Amino acid sequence: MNKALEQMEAEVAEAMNTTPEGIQKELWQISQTPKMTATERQTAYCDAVLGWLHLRGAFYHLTARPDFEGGLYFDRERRLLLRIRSDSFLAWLADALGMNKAGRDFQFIQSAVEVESLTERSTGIEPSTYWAGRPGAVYLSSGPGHVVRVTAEAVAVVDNGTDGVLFPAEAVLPPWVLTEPANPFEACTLFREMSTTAPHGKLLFQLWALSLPTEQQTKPPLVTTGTVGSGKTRAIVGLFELFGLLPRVNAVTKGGEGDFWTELDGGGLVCFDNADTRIDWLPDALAAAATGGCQSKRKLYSDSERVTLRARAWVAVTSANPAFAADAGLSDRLLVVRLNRRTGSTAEAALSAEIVAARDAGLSWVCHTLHRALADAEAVPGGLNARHPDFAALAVRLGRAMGREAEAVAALRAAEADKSLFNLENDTVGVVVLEAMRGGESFNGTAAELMERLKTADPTLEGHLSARRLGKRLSKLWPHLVAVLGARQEPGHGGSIRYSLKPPSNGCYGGFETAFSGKSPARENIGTFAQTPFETHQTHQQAEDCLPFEVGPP
Amino acid sequence: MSKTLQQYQPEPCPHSGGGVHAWMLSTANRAARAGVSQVDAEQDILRAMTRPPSPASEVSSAVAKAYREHVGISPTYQPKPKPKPLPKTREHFIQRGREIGGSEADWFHRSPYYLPEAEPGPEDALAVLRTLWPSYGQLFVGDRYGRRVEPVRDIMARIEAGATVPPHIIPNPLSGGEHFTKDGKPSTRCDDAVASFWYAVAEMDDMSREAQLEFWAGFTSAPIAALVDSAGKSIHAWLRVDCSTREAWAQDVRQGLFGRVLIPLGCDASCQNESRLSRMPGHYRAEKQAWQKLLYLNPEAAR
Repeated sequence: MNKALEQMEAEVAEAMNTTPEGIQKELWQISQTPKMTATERQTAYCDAVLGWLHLRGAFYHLTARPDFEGGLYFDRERRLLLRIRSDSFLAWLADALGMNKAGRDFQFIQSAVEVESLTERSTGIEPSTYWAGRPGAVYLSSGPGHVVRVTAEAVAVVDNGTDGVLFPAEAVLPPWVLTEPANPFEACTLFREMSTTAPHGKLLFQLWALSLPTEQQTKPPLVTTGTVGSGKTRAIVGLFELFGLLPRVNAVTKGGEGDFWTELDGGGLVCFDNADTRIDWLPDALAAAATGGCQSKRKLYSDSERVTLRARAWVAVTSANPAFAADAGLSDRLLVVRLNRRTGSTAEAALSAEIVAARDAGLSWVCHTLHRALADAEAVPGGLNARHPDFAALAVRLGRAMGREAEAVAALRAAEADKSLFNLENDTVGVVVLEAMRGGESFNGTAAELMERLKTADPTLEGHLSARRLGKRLSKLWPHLVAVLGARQEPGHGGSIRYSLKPPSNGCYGGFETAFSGKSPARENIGTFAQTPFETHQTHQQAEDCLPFEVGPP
Repeated sequence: MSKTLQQYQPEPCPHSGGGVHAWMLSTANRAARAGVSQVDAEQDILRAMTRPPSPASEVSSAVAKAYREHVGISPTYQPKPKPKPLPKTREHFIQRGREIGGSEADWFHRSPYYLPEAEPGPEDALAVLRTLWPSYGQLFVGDRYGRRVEPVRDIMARIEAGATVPPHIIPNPLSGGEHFTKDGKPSTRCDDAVASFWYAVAEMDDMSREAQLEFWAGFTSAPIAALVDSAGKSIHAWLRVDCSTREAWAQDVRQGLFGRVLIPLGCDASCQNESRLSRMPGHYRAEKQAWQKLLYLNPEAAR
C-alpha cells in the first residue's frame, strides 16, 4: 500500500499545484512557521510563488523589448499568455494566492514575478497575433486557450503554446469550432455577389483572403478601388467579420504615419479607408510595409531608446481615387481589385449576420484549403508576381486546393498586368500617355515629339510640362510603360532618346477583359488632371527643371 | 500508589463563605487531570472541606462533573483538524478524466477483465467473486442486517443455482467467527472480524454520477480493482490496499489514504473502516428500479 499511497499522494500534490490550492497550502505553512521576520516571510512567500508559477507555466519576455512592461507569463493550465503587468494577470494571481492586491506581501510577490520575467529563467519570444505561420504549418488562434494547427498532414485543434507558438490573450481570434467546412465566399452574399470589374477580381480577393493566416514575410497590400457604393470597404469589413477580428478600418491623415506603423505592428489585418487624398508619406510607407519593412524611432520621453514597429499586419486600402498608386514602386507591389457599383441592396446587419453564422464553417474551409495547399509539393509556374513570388506560389497552390488552378494562375497574371495599368491610370502623366495611345497609332520619336502628341490628347498640358520633365517622368514609369504599352527606347541623334510605344492591347487584365472599362476611375482622374500640379510627392519640379540634360529611362 | 491531596491541590480549603464550592470544583478538576481515582478524590475533598456539603451530593456531583469532562483528555488536548477540502484539485481530476475519457462506455472498454456485455445481472456478481477473492475466502454477501459469512465458492454456487444476488458485500475477507463490536456486541462482520485487509471502499455523494466516473478516470494512480454503480447516486470504488495488519490499515488507509488523499478530495469519511459495506454488483435494487452494475474490473488494480 505504501507505494500506491505515495503515488496517489504525489499525484494529488501535482494536481494541487495546477490549482491555487497547492500554493495556498504552501503559503499557509510558511505563515505558520514560528520566529520568522517579516522580510524572511515575504522572501519565503516569493520563493514559493515563483516555484509554483514555474511548475504550472513559464516566464517570457519580449525579445524586442526586454523590460518589465514586456514581461509575460504563460499559464499552461489555462493556456493563457498574459502580460505580467496586466490587470487580468494580477487579478488572477491575487485570487489564486488568496491575497489582497494592495497588501504588502502581494506587492513583494508582484515585484519578484516581474524580476523573474527578465532573468535567464525566462525566455525571449515574439508573441504571435491572431494567426501565425511557421515552415510547413499555419496556426489560427481560437479563443485564448486553443489554436487550430494546419499542416500538410492534418487540421487539428491544439493548445495555445503548442510548437512554441504563443498567442497573448488580447490578440486571439474569438473562439470558433472546427466543423464541416463550407466555402464562405460562396455561402455569404457579401462575398458571393461582389461586383468586380474584371472576372479575376473575385478569385484574387479570395486568394488574398486565404493567405492572411500564412503570415508571409512580404505581404502584398490589397487595394479595392471603385466608385462610391461599390462595396470597397464593406468587402474588407466582411473579412474582418469572417475571421472575427474587430474591424480596424482607419482613415488616412496627413500626419498619421506613426499611427500607420502602430496599426501594422499590431498584426492581423488592417484597413486604410478612403485613401483618396494625396498623402505624402502613404506610398513610401505602404511600399515599405509590403516588403516587410519597419519604422524605427525614438521612444517617447527618452533620448536614446528606440522603438521598432514592424509590418506584421496585412494591409488593405480602399480608394475611389487612388492617388498613391502614382508611385511606380508602390504600384508594383499592389494587388488591385476593381469594383463596380453594386446593384440591389441588402441590409448591413443581415450581411454581417450571415458571415457570423457561417464563420465556423468558413474558417474550417480556410483551414482545410490551407491544409491541401501545404500538402501540395508540385511545382508552380514562375513569374506570376515579380515582387511577391512567395505569395504567388501559395496562391497557385490555394487555387489547386480549390480546384481552380488555371483560374488562379490566370488571375495572378492578370493582376500582375493590371498593376502597371493601375499605376499609369493614376499618374498625372501616365494617364495622358495611356489616353494618347488609345487612339490606336503606335509612337516612335523623342520626348519632344511625344509631348506634341500628348498635347493633342490633353491641351491643358501646354505650358505646364516640358519635354525634359516628360522624359524624367517616363523614366519613373518605365517598367509599367513596358508592361502596358510595350515601350522600348533607343539612342537617337545628338544623345537624345527615342521612345517606341504601342497602343494598349485588349488583354490588359491578362486576357480576361479590356482594361479600360467604362467604369474605371481612370477617366475621372483625367478630369482632375488640370487641377493637379504636374508633380507628385516624388517629383520636385524645380530641381528637375534645373537639370542640364534630358534623362532617359534606365 | 495514590496521590495525596497536597500533591494535586496545594491550596487549602477556604473558610465557609470564602469560596468553598469553587475550591471544590478546582480540586475535582485537578484530581481528574492528576489521574486520581474518582472515589479517592471525593473522599479527599470531603476530609479537607471546612463546612459540610450542602446539599449532601454537592461533592459527588462536582467530582462526577469534573471526571466526566476530563475522561481521556489530556490538558494539552487539541482536536485533530479536519483535512482541508481540495475542491479545485478534485475539479482538476474531473477535467482530466473528461479529457481522457471517463464515461461509462470508456470504463467498460478500459476494463482488463472482460465484462459481460449483456444487461447487468448475476454475471456481474460472479465476475467479481471469481476474480477478486480465492474460492475459500470467507465473505459477507447479504442484506444490511445479515450475519452470514461463508466461503466464496458457496456464494457463487448459490448464485449460479439461481438465487437472488444480495444487495451488500464487505470486500475484505472475514475470519468467519464471532468478534465484538465497539459497543461490545458479538458480530461476524464487525471491524474486528476482518481477517485480510485487501480493499478499501471509496464513494462520494456530492457529485453527479458522471463526474464521479470522470474523477476516478482522472485520478490515474488510484489502484481501482472494481467500480460498482450503486444504482443510487454514487459509484463505489474498491481500491486495492493490501494492508498486512490492522495497524497498517490504521496508518496507511485511515490516516494516509483517507486522511490525506480521499477525504480532502471529497470522498465520504465514513468509509474508512475495514468492514465497510459496499454494493454487490448484479443486484436489482427494486426501490430505485435499477441494477447495481459492475463498470470496471481489474484484479491487478494497476492502470
